Amino acid sequence: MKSLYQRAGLALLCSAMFAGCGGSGGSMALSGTILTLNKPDLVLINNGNGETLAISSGQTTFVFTKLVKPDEDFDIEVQNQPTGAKCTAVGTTNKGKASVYTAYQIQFSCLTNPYTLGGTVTGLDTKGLVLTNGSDTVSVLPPTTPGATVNFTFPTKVGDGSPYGVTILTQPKDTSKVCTVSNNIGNMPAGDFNGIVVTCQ
Amino acid sequence: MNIKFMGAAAALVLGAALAGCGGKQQFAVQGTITGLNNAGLVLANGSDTLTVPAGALTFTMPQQIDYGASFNVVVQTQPAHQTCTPALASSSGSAGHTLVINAQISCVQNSYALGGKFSGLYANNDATATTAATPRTVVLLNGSTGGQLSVSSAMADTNTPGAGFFNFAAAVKFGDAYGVTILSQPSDVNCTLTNGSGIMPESTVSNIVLTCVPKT
Repeated sequence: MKSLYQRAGLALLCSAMFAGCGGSGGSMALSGTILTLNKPDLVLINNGNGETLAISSGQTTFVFTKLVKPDEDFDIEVQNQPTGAKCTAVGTTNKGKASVYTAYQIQFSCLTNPYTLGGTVTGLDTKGLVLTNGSDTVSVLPPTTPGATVNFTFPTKVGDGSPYGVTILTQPKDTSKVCTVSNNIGNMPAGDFNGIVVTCQ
Repeated sequence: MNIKFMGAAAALVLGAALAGCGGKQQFAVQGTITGLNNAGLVLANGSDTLTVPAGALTFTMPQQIDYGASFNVVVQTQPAHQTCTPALASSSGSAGHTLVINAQISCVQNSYALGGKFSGLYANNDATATTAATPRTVVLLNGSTGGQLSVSSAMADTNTPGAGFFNFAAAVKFGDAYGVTILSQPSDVNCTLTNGSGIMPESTVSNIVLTCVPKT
């Protein structure tokens, strides 16, 4: 059994040497999938042979162009993270010896950087004001100093580039004042956004 | 290998036979529950019923059954605001097929459609002899995680030009907040929303109103 492998190995080596004249002699293209990449500038590198591969925003699959031989070591890493997101290998699918079981199963998963969404409320005198970004709600209490501006942030962060839309879920109680919201719709910038303006009058 | 199995089987039969001396072997009709957050769940196996408290992870029906007797655990009454479903494979069968009965019940929060009606949304006035008019589109957003919805003039009912109905693709769970805003709209119309936010009740929401008027 062992000698059979050795013979097969020798045969491969021979063919590799001959093939070496015209190229690497590999037969498999390292390839895989990328989950939820919505940002540009991701670059993957195969430390096994030094090949780099640029990945575009929205791309879900990738194929390295240099073919690898059976049992050739590969180690796919992130050389450059996307702008506004972070990608990591899924499990150990990014490393190993190339075979039909490993070469086509490489997986990376990307998560867009999350940032805080918030803003200010003016003219709030009573309790009961609740703001919502879809299902994510924040209750805003009146300031301890009457007339002061109150800051608020939503409990759930929003991914860089994701849309947000803030509405008033419930108005403050025991008051004739009505609150309105402005600057409340947009796409999350690459940083915290605290520009939502609620005015009660 | 086979002999070993046969031996084990023989031992089981022997055990069953011995148990038979004092009456048939008894099996508890029991199982596991996931996701049960509210009170009100009543399970039934035939006429044998059990009220399961909120938060329960396991249950055991009051009455045991004989070896070989069949069982079928069903939901007689659903808990408040939730729907529980017994797994087909494990919730019915006959006692003794497996060492113990383990009926699996999974419960999820009820969720309902979120939608409403629109009016004043007409296709662009750019039809030619050979091409149809391009539709106008308003994009609605239910917060960062509730999804987007493109409301197009092409969704209008044929007998009510410019008006029709819309529903978000993602249902909203009972008790969750929703807050719908206009993410984008055509530059030549002014669209407004009413009834855009609220708490999802135990029914579909269809009272959101999107009204568009031409800019003057």
